Amino acid sequence: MNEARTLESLDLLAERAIADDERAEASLFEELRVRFLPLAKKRVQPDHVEDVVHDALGIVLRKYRDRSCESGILVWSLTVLRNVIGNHYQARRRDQERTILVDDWQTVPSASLTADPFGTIDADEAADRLEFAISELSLRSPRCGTIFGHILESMVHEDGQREISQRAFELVRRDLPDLTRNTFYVALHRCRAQLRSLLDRMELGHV
Amino acid sequence: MSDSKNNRSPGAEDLLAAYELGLLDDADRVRFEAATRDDPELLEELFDAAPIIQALHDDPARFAAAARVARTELRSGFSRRIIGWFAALVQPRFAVPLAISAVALVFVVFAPQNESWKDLAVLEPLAVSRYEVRAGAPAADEFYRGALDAYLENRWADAAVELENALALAAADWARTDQARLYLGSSLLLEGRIDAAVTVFEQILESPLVPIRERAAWQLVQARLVLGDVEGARTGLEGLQSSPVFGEKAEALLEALTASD
Repeated sequence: MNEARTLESLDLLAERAIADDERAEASLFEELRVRFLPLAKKRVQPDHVEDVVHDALGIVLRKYRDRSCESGILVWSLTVLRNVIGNHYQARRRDQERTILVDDWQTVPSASLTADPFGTIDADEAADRLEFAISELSLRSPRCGTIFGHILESMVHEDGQREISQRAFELVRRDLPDLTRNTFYVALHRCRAQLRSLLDRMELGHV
Repeated sequence: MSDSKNNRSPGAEDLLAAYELGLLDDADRVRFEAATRDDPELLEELFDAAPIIQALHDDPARFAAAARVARTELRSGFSRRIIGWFAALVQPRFAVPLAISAVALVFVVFAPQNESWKDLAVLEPLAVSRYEVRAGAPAADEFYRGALDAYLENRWADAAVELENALALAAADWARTDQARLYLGSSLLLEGRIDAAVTVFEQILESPLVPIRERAAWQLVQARLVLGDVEGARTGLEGLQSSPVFGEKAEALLEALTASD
């Protein structure tokens, strides 16, 4: 399994694929497929896994050359997969609602009708929650506020991942001189965990 | 901590956030991506957070402003000011009780009259960032943008008018209704229209968004203090005691109210 792995990042593969390197494109989509499969297997019935993965890869293939967002190809592709799985849930739910008799409602396992949780709130509301979560995190943990704040400011003012990374680290070091590049990554990871926890608790109404 | 320990290469799982935000160099990116093939939990975490990360990349200015404003708010916050006076002199674990005691002492010594409750009220603008509106956005969003611009420039009356317009024109499911009400209540409060502010803040107490609800509750306490409704303010503060953001402020203000009884 290991021997087939690429020594390039997926973003570099994507860059070469966009420049019409067919082998790079084939490698990129194989790399995405092996990551999509286990995620889809956990979420859809076995006989639908291949279809869902195929649909998601088809959308990625159609759109990846034109996407303008700054996130990496893997993160962006995973959002595509999430949407495809969400649509799959909704389609199944509609089918079930059409076929289940009213008297049978009580016998339907609730899990089979559960939609993708993220699909139940719209993008605006999700962004609002994220904005408040970042605000709350910055109040509760000024260190995390500083780290996220400088990274986000760098994303606003710089183009290119290398420039963003360089500027963000320099700004963070100005306020938190004890951080090395490696401890910066670890600190950021911990702040991310706090942000996720805050978002989860907000969703449950505990914040 | 030694330099060698500081410089030790972090595990792939520790690179997750840096990877998501595009901060890694090529070598670390390859290392992290390889780990997402071998570590199902890491891949799951990346998958779960993908929409959040996408949102950050789509509009970093909005979220940068949220962090910046919160840090400014923290620096100028009420409890921060009280605690800050003592923090330089004492250990942090003593700072809060000392600050509370000091506030209590101030009010015992200077024993405010009932009509001076409003001196206790903390009348400060809320944290706010500019709101960008895409071409063709609904009129409610246009008014909301204008309102926040006015609010940022301390033009409270203008902000209130624009927010009232936004709310009047908003669709029933407008995502910013509660935020608009919060800023409307604050604009009215800062403009001196206290009764109107109370009415607006009371509406927001039903909001499902807890941070908005808590901010409204805190503002409502200030409005009630200005009106001399001490019992109403006390009830509001007791409800905020468990809040991680307003708990400290609420405790300090409750102590101050008790001391001045």
